[in-house]
Amino acid sequence: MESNNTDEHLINLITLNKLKNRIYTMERDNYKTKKITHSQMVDKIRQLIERIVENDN
Amino acid sequence: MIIKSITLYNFRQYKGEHKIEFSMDKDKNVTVILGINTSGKTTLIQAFNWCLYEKCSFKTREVINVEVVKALTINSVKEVSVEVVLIHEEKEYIINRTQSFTKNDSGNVRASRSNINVQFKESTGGMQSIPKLKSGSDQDLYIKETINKILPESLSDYFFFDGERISDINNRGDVVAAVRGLMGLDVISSAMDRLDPSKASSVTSKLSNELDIGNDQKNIKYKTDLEKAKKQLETHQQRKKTAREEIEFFERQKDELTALLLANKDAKENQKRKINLEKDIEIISKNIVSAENRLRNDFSTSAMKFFALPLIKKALLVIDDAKQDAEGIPEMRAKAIEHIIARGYCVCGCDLKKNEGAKENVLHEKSLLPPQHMGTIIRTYKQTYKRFEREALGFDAIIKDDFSNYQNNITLLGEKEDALSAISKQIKGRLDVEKIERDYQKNEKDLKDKRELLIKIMSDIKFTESEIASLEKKIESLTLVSEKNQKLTKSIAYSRAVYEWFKQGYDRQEREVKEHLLESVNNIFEKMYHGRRKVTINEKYQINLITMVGDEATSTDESKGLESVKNFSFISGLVDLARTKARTGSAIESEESINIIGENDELIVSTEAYPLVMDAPFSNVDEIHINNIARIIPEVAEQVILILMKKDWEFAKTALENKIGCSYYIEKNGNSDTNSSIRRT
Amino acid sequence: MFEKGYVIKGKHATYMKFLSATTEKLNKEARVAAVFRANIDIYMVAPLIGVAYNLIADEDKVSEDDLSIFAEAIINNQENLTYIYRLVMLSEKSVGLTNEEKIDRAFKDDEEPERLAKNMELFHKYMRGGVEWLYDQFTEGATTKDDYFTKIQEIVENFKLDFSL
Repeated sequence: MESNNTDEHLINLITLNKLKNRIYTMERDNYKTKKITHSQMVDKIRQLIERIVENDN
Repeated sequence: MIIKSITLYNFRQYKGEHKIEFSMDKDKNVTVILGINTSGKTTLIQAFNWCLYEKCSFKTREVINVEVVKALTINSVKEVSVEVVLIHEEKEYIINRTQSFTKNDSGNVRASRSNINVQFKESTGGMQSIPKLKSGSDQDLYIKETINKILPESLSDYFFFDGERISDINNRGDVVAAVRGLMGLDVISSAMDRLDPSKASSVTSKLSNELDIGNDQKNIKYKTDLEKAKKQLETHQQRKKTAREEIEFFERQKDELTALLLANKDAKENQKRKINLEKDIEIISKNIVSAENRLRNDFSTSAMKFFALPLIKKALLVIDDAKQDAEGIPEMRAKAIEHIIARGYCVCGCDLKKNEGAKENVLHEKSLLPPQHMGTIIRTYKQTYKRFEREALGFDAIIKDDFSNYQNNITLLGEKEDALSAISKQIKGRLDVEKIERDYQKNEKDLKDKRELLIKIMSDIKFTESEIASLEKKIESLTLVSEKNQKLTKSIAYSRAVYEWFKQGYDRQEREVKEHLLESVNNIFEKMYHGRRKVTINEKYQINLITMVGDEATSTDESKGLESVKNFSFISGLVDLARTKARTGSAIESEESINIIGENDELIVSTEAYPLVMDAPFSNVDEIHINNIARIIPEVAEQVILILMKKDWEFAKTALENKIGCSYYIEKNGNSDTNSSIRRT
Repeated sequence: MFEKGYVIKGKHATYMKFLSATTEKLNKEARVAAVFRANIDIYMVAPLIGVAYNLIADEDKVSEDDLSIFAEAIINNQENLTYIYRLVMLSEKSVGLTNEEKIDRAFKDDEEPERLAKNMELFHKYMRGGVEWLYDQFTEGATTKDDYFTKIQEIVENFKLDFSL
């Protein structure tokens, strides 16, 4: 895995924290209902991240 | 989450409606429900379970009160319901499960499917029902979701537990899951799974897989060029291989030709020799002709005299023998004598006219002269033949000489011709040396050309290799630069960062949970139990009792009572932990914006405080311990609901007196097992 | 005598051709000994040999071969031919003549055409004999030029020995 150094310049900390909370929320909501499958969740999170990255630009 | 009330209607031995309102006071947070055995204590827990999860440890038809069922008339309906009101995240939830029973024509009692409804009251006051779905799918999906959000079924056993069953609490496999769930670590764990780079299905992995040079035009061109260059390199390598093989071939040829030349070196000399011999032979042949001619000529010229010799010998004998050898006067000619006679006087002066005798002599002389007298001739011939004899001397020597000369030349010719023949033979088998030399020179040229070609190819290879390297570098840098990849890279960075953060947080939390749990449990245990015992927790959150003997810890067998205390401690520890966490985390939650990031960028898990509903908690506990347990429980739980036998209560009463918010009494109506009431005291 | 050309007939002509280099001159392919420069040389030597070995031969009537010795050649060698003739006459011993008679025959018969013709006849007999001898000598064990020329030397040597020269 790359060292964090190479990644640091790419990441906006505020965005990162938003992301953390958002993912947590998604997971928490799903946790109790177990409605969404793993791969569905993966896709959701991925879309979330990609959206964030898009907006960051 | 705390429980506000539970209302039973025709539920098991509770005929009609019975309501319990639990203490929600923060200090006096204990609600005690006393009852004698079989009065329906356990039923309360069952009521919770049935209402929330439709879970029951009894048969369906035993849900409804027996007497009510008995009183059913044909085609009449009786209902059973349990309604739980609880407060969760500042919302009041009313959960109602109802089931109808009918007696049909045949006199059989049929139960409907139980129907659950959940309403919640916002802090604003408005009531909302959780919608049911259309029939076909699980209608109660949302309701189930909600209930599980409030109190997951898997955790329900910890917070609504049956003292009788307390012994196996800690040994169940899902303790880990339960603890995790309690601490909210499950959520984190899920989140991690989604992002774990080592998992192929994770976001990170999927993003990484898509990280390539993409479809940008430039990339395509570089890709194509790279392909071409690689093919080119292949071609060059092939050419190099071929060139090397050809060089090898030419070198081998060179060796062969050199060997041939060497072997045939003498052939060249032989050629020279042959030419020389041929020249010599020509000369000698000419010489031979000369010698022949000389011999012939000499022979022809002088043979006569030579072959005359034996004849001359004889002839001379004959001549010598003959008397007619009288000689006339040499050189005297008949005409001279006629002249003398005609002149009349002799040479000597004698007068011949007068001297007849003298004249006779002179005339006689004339007869001796040729042609008259042969003597003269003979004499001449004799001389001639003698001359011949002389001249014939040395004839044989000349002939010998001539012949010798001739013979030498012949011999020489023979020698030369033999030599020529031998050399010709030698040369004959050999290849044309000149041709070999030509071939050799050509081969040398070819070899040189190929070597030069190889050098060129090597430089081509070098060039192509550097081209490839440069393209690859370009592609690489393009990989970084391409927009898509940029985004992907960024996404990956985020994904990783979140993962790492979650992982760190998770590990830390888990550590803390264990530590805390251990500490809590030990504290509680210590308080509950006096003795030299301690508990340890393993990975699976299983508690083991150990006894300190001296400084050593040994695990000990446990009595049932001890077992109870142990398990009790565990539960208490859990509850306590939850409460602690809840307190620290409670501030951070509101519906829309959850924040799990602490001041120092640490992961904050939040969990809820849960009530502790215990049915016959002290049934297997010694009196001493009861007191201790009783004291601790209210400390650890937000809300405590104790359902126990009166006799057990006696021991706990002292400890809990000040904590009691409300109390109830379950009585049997008319000593009926099927009819109980709950009366507030 | 020896004022005209002479024709040799029959096998002796063949023999002579064999022995003469002239033949070769005329025809390079001719397989001949060519040990004598010219026909005339043979003509001169043959009689001497004939007398020496006492060999005579009549003119061969069987073969139709002939060989001319031209008048020019004979006239050029008239003197030597005459010597040879008289030598033959002097030393020849077939006819039991006295030495006186031999001398007369050798020298005096010149004036007597009949006698001369007879003598010439004898001369030519010896000549033929000599030719035969030469032919035999040169063909005995000889087939190549080299052989023939070797024979020259051999013949000379042997002749020397035969007559203690």
